[in-house]
Amino acid sequence: MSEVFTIDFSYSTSHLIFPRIIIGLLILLGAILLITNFLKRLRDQSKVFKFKLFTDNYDKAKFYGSIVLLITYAVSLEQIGFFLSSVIFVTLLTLLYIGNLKRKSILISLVNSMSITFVFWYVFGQLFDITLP
Amino acid sequence: MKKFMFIMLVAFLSAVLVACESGSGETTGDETEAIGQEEEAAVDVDRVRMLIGSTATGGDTYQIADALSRHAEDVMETNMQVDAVGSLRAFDELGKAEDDGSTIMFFHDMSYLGVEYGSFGEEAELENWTIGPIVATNPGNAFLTNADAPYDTMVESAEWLSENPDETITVAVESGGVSQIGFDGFYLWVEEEFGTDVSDRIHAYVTGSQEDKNQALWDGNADIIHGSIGANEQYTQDEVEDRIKMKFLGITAGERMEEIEIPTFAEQGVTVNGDEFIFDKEFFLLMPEDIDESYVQAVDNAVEQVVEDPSYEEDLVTNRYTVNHMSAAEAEEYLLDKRDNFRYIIENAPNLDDIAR
Amino acid sequence: MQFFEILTPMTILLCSLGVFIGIVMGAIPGMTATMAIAIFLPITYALDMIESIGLLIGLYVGGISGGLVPAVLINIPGTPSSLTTTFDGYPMTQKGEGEKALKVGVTASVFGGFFSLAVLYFFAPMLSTFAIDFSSVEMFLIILFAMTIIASISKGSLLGGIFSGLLGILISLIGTFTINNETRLIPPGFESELIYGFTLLPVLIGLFAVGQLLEEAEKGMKASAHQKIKLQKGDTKSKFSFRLFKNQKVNVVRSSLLGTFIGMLPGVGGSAASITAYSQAKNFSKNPKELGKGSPEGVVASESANNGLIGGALVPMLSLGIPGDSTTAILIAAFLLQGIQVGPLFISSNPDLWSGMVFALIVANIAMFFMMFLTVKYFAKIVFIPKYLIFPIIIVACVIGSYAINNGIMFDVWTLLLFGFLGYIFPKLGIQIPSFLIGFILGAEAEKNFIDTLQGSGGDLSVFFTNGPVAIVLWILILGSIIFSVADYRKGKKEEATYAS
Repeated sequence: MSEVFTIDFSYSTSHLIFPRIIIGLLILLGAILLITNFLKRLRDQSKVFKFKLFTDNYDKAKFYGSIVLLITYAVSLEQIGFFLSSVIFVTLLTLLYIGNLKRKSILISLVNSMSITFVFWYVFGQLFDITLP
Repeated sequence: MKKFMFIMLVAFLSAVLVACESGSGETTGDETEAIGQEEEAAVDVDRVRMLIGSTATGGDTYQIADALSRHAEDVMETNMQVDAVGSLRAFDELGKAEDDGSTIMFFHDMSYLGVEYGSFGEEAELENWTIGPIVATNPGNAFLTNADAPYDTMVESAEWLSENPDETITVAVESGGVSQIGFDGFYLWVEEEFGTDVSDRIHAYVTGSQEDKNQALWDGNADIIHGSIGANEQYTQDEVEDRIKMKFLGITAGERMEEIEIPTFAEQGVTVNGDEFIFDKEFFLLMPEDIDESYVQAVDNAVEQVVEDPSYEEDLVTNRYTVNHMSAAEAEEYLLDKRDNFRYIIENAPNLDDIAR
Repeated sequence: MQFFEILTPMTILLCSLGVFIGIVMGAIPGMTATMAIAIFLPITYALDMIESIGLLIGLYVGGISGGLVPAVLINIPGTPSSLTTTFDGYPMTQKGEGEKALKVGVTASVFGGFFSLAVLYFFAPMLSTFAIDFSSVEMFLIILFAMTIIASISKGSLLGGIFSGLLGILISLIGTFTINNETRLIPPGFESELIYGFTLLPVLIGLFAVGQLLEEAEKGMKASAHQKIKLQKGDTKSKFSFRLFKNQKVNVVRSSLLGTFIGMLPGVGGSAASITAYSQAKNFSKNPKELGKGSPEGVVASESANNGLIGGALVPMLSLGIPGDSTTAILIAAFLLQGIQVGPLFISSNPDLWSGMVFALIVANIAMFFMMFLTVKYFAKIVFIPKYLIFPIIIVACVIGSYAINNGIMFDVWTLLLFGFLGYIFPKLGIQIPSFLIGFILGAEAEKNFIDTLQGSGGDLSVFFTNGPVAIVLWILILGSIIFSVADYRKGKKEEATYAS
C-alpha cells in the first residue's frame, strides 16, 4: 500500500513532478469531457454540433480593427516611444468605436488621446518615476 | 457632452501648467550636470539602471546596492535605480543591454559560483562581462541550528554525528549559491576527516529564500540552515521564544566579526584538501563586455569617493556589512583567482541528487 | 504611548496622502498596492521611520481597497485580490446598483481592516509561533481548500470548471522552478522571455480588460443597458443603507477572520484570502444561488477578506520576520533600509514603532473609508462614460502597468495582449475564466508547498494525511466544501431541468 503513496523524488527532476501530475489530470478530465459530450450527442440527435466563434452579425470592422490597432500599438511603443504611439493609438481607437469621421468625433478623440496620454505620462513617468516604454 | 469636454480641457491645461513649472526645474538640473563634466566620476547617461541578482528587497544584495546607488548617483551626477529582477533575468538583460552604461549589474560571488554549479549558463561567465570594482563584504555568512541542538559549532556537529551512528543531519541550502559552497566545504571536510560513513548521513534540503530556510528549521525539515548574522542574529537573542530560538554554528569568513563572537570555519579546523576553508561573500559591479573604458574609469573614481564617505560606511554597518574596496582592475584579477580556488570544491562536491532528501 | 506623541501631523498627512495615492493606483487597472509601495520605497529613506511607516501603510490600505472600484464598475479587478469582487459587484452595476455595491464594498473593507487590526494588536505576540504550526503540508492543503471555490463558481459544466482551473495551474508552472533552477514547459523560442513564466498582472488584466474590449468590439461597442439606467431614482432597493449589514454580521466576521487567518500564513498568497472567503460565503449562504448574480453578500465577503488580509499579513512579519504576502515583503525592506530588524523581538524592542504602526493602520483605515465613501457618488459616474472613450483609456493604463510591473519588460505587454485574446476566445471554448485565473494565481504556491513536503518526506505522499490534527481538519474542510458545492450544483441543475419541462 505504501508504495502507491510514494513518488520517486529526485532533486534534479523535482521541477517535473507537479507539471506531470497536472498534465495527467488534464488529459484524464479532457477525455471524460469529450466522451460525455459525445454520448450526449448520441442520445440527443437533435443537437447537431455547431460551434460558433462569433455572435450573429458581429461588427467585423471594430473587432478586427481593435486587434490590428492593439498589435500595432505594442509594436510602435518600441519604435516611436510611449507618448506619440499612445496619442495615435487612442485617437484611432476612439474614432473606430465612434464609427464616423465627423469633425466633432475627430475633436473628441484628439482631446481624449492627448489629455489622457499626457496625464499618464506626467503622473507615472515623471512624478512616480515609473519606467515607460 | 459639452460639460465633459470642458472638464477634459481644464484637466489638460492644468496638467500642462504643472509640467511647465517642473520643466523649468529640470533645465537647471542639466546645467549643473554640464558643469560637473570636468570631474571624471561623472557619466553622460542621465539614468543608470542597476540590476541586482536577487528578487528580495530585504536581502543583503538589495541593501548594499541601495546604499551604493544612493551615494554613487550624486558623485556620478546621474540617477540610479536599483532593480531587484533576480539573477537569471539580470544576466539576460545585462547581456542585451546597450554599452553606454545605462544598465549595469550588482551582485556577489554567486555570479560565478552559479556558473560553476551549472545554475546559470556559460553566457553568464565572468569573462563575458567587464568586471567592476568590489564595494563591500558581508562577513556574516553563517550556518545556524536550533538553540537546543546538542552541538555548538560545525565541527561539533560532525563529531556528534560520528558518535551517534543512527542520527542524520539535514542542511537547508540554496542551490548554486554562496550557501552551497559553504555546505560543500563542510561536507568535503567531514568526508576527509571522518570518512564516508559519517558524511553519507549529511543530507541537503534545497530551498529558496532566507524565510524558507528559517521555516525549514522550525518545521523540522532541516537541522542546520544557512543564514547570515545580519538576518538571523535577532533569533539568537535570549528573549526569543524557545520554539524559534537559534544559535550560530560558525561563519565562513576569514575573520570573526568584532561585534559578535562567532568562530570561523577556519579556526574550528575545517579544511578542504589541506587548506583552511575561508569564504568571504563579496559584492561587486558587472558591466556589459564592450563598455567604454572611460565609463569604467568614472565608476572606479566614483566608488573610490563613495568608500571614503563615512555615511556610506555607516549605512553598511547598520546591517552588519563592511566596506571592502578593490578597483575594477584589481577586482578582475582577484575574482578570477578566487574562482579558481573554489573550483576544487565544486568539482569534488557531492551531487545534490544523491544527498537531497 | 500617546497617540499624538507618536503620530505627528506630518505622519498623519503622509499616511492620508498614501491612502489617496494607493486608492488611485489600486483603482487603475494594471497598478497594484505592491507596485505603489515599491515606487515609494526609495523615497522613504529620506523620512524618519514613523513617517515612512505611515506613508507605506497608507499606500497598502489604499491600494488594496482601491481595487474594488474597477472590479465593481467595469468588471476588471484592479488588483488580484479583488478578483472575487467582480463576481457580484459587476452584476450589481448591471442592475443599476453600482453606487450601492461600492458603498457595500467600502464598508466591508473598513470592517475587515479594523477586525484584522484588532487581531494584530491583541494577539500578535501570542500568535508569534502560530505560523510555524503550519508546515508545507498544511499550506498545501489550505491552497487546495481555496481551490475548492472552483467547484462552487462553475457555471454550466462542473468538470469544465475544474478543467479550466487545472489549465490555469499548468500555465502558471511555465518557467523556472525556484528550488532547482530548472526550466520546464517553455515553448521553444521563448527561453529567455518566459524564464520566469508569465507575470500575473498582465495575465489578469489581459483576460479581463482586453478580453472584454474584444468582446465589446465584436458587439459593436454599443452602450450597455445599465449605462442608460438612471441611478437611484427613488427606489429603495438600489439604495445603500447600513441596515444592509444587519443580516451580514456572520458573513462579515467569517470573511474578515478567514482573510486575517490566510494573511497570517506565509506561502499561501494574499489572493487566496478573498477567494476562500467568497466560496465559504456561498457555502453558508441562505440563498447560494443569488451569489454570482449580484448579491451584496458576495461583495461583502470578498472585500472584508482582502482588507482583513492586511493585519493578518503583518502578524508573521512582526513575530517571525517572515512576510505574509508580497506587499509586506517590501515593507520589511523599508525597515531594513533604516537598520531595523523585523522579527521576534521587534515589538518588545521598538514599542514606539509598534504603536506607530497600529496608529497608522487606524488612521489609514479611517482615511480610506471617508475618502472612498464620500466620493463614491462621483466614482460611480465612470459607468456612464461612453465606451468609446473609456476603453482606450483602460488599455493605455493596462499597457503602462504591464510594462512597468517588472520595470520595463516589453514581453509583459505582449502577455497582456495574448491573454486578452485568450480572454475573448476562452468563454467560446467553454473554458471558464475565473476558474482558470484561480488556478493560475494559486498554482505556483501549491507546487512549491507540494514539493517542499515531498522533499521533507522523501517522496512519501501519506504525510498529507498523517501530519497531525490540523491536516485532518483541513481535509474535512476540503471534502465538506466540495460536497457542499457539488450538492448545490446538482440542485441548481435539477431546478433548471424542472423549469425547462
